[in-house]
Amino acid sequence: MKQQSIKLAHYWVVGALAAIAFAMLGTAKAQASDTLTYVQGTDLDTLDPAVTRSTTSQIVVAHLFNRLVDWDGPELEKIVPDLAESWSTSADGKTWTFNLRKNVTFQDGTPFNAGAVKFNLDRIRDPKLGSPNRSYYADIESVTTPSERVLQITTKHPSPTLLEMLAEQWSAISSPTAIQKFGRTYGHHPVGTGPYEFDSWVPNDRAVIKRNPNYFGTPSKAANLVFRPVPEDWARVIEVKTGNADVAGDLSPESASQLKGNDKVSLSQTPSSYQVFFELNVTKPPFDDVRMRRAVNLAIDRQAIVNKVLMGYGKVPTSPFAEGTQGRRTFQPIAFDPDAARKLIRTVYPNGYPGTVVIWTTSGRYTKDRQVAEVVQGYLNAVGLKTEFKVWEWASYQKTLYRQEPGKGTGKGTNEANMWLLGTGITNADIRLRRKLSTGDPSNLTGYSNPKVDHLLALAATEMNYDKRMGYYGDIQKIVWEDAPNAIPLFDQVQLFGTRKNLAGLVVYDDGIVDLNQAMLTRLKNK
Amino acid sequence: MPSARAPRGGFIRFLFSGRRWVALTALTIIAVIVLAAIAAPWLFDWNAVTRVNLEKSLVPPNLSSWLGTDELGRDLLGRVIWGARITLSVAFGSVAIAIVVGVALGAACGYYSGVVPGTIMRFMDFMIAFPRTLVAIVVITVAGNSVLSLTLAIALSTIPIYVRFFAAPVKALKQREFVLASKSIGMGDVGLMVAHILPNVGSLIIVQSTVSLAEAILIGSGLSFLGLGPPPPIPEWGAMIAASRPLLAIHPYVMVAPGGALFLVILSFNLVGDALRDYVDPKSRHGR
Repeated sequence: MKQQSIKLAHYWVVGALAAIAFAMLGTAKAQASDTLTYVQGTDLDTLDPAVTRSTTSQIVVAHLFNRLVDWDGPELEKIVPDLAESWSTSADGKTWTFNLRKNVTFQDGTPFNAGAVKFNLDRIRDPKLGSPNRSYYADIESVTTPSERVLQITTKHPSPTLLEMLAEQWSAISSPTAIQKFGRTYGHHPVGTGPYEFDSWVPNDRAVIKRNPNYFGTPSKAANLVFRPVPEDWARVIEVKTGNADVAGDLSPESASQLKGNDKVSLSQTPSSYQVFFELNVTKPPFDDVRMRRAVNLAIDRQAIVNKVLMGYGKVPTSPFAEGTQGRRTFQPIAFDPDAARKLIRTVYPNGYPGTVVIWTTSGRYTKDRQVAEVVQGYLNAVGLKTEFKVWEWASYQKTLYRQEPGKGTGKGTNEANMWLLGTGITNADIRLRRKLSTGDPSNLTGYSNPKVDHLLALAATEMNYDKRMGYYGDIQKIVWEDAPNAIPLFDQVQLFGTRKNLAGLVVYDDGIVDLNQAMLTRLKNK
Repeated sequence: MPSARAPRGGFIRFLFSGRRWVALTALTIIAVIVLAAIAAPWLFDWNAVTRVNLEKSLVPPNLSSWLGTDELGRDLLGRVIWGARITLSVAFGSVAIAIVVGVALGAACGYYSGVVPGTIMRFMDFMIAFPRTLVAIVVITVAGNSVLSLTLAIALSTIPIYVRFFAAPVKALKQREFVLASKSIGMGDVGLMVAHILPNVGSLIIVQSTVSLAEAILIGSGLSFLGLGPPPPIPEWGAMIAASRPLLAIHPYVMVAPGGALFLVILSFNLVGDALRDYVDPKSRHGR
């Protein structure tokens, strides 16, 4: 009898546990159907829009904030209103007047007004913040607030790029209350006016944002968006295959080939404005000599890299600008000629370069970055250069590259290396060139200083005629491509995504920004 | 306790007479790998093993390239053999350092008593509490990525094991008649240790060292798998395994080469260690 009652008791316990488990599964599923999960290759660095420079973070930022103006869509054809309903310029072109949207509140309840915009624009121009994007606002002379709904920006010269700058992610408008409250930790407590508001961010685990019920624009579809860093790309593939994630980004060519013919996940290839390159330290040997910079460019077989390492998912560069970048001019692809490279090296160092070229790379941030870096190392060794190789984790890599080291060589942490792998997907021509090439720019990591380029940038800064301005940018591209490079362009990226077949409404921009606002799963049954 | 310094030839005879074929195979495998590692420069040119050759990228095993080529077009057999060189030098190097320092320190702590030896022993206990990989990571972060720092990192975490291991038998031996007898006729401390004590713990050293070698190989490969080993293009089995992971689904042979080698070597050292333990333990030699 006792045996039987024990058995019965066991069944009850098991039954109860099973019931609890199913209940939990049930609620998990109900939550899950309102939540979209996006897995990325790296973690966020900060959610302060004025300071972040990583696409990984900017994807989240794009959902939390609005800007005064925005681009109409991925084709970047024209500027449309966002927080500013309309605007006009004065006769001399130096004063812009913006009429701001009414009845907008920040996600913490602070009312949105001209004062808030002024606060943000002053903040990003304040050297004390140390924003790496500060120089793009250098043309702004002053920001005034004639009334609650009217903002005026006065520029030093007529600025052809002001609207484009105001459409950038860094020009997002944050709540002044939140910034003042959180100070240096604002990056972990972002508050904007956007369609989603910040819920939580556990570094190396996940960032969660939830739909803003008081958003002034079109409400977004998913109630919650979860962004998770999953460093291994095959792990990202598994996540999207099993349904733990709805979108897997930053996929490698190998993972992409695994998704072909999968019945639950589709593989999408979208063009990318990203180019991956090795920047060169031009302030110390060997790359202080332009002939050495030309030599290493000749030493690399880019077509082989695209065919073999990228498995065809990539393009050989024909310009410092990848496809989809404003004002792109194309040239001949750089030849692969190791003999010419060796000859050039011998003209500079007849007995070979005695030192070691220090190569820095990251792993997992760009498509096959580490593998491509190893290949480049091989090519450099083949033309007689001794190399030293170091792999970095992305967050500490960025910190180190941009760390200020005033007075030393490049003036940044990059001074300890001779070449470092990086990519850029900036679609705005002015920013892309100014950042990398203009003498003394906070984002100029190479120490590059070319008076011809500086002069062309200065001309472009005041040229109101769009085509003429693009012409100047084209000339700069030509100088950097044919004459005085600051980098070794490696390949133009192709964006590879795995998405659940029942996910609709995903929008992908050339610069890597992913817009999930109107994305949703079309069927809520078993995933 | 009879002298345990039996000649090596005796060990092989022991294996044959006991029909210990598994151990014999393991010993052969070790011998082959050690020989291959020594002969590496004659078998495969260093340049061929590190030069990038994308035309030959990811060729499956064939007659001209027995284990295939990796993503950068380098022959996998060549990289495995050169990798053996590095793996074995790190393993033997770190264990050698650990033996020399550890046995000396351990014997001294066991032989002498007092505050200093006592403190050292407690410190060794403290060191053993830390996971060995963690200790190694700290050393490499400070010293940089290289074969030398990997060797030192593993040695540092192996020393406490030898210190603790030998302090006790030395302490026990100190009281034995023949030692007391030698002391009474005026033999110095060091002379005592070298002449009487060390030969008797010699067998323990041999057995422990095969275990340590297997562990050193495993830890070393684990660290280089994590990216803490010697930097590219130096071939190291752990790093090769890490690099082969994205390709596993499409080109599995890239992982089979270094993974198989690692598996075989560690298994062989463990098997030989088992057999050595039996050989050296007098009880098992005569009755079983």
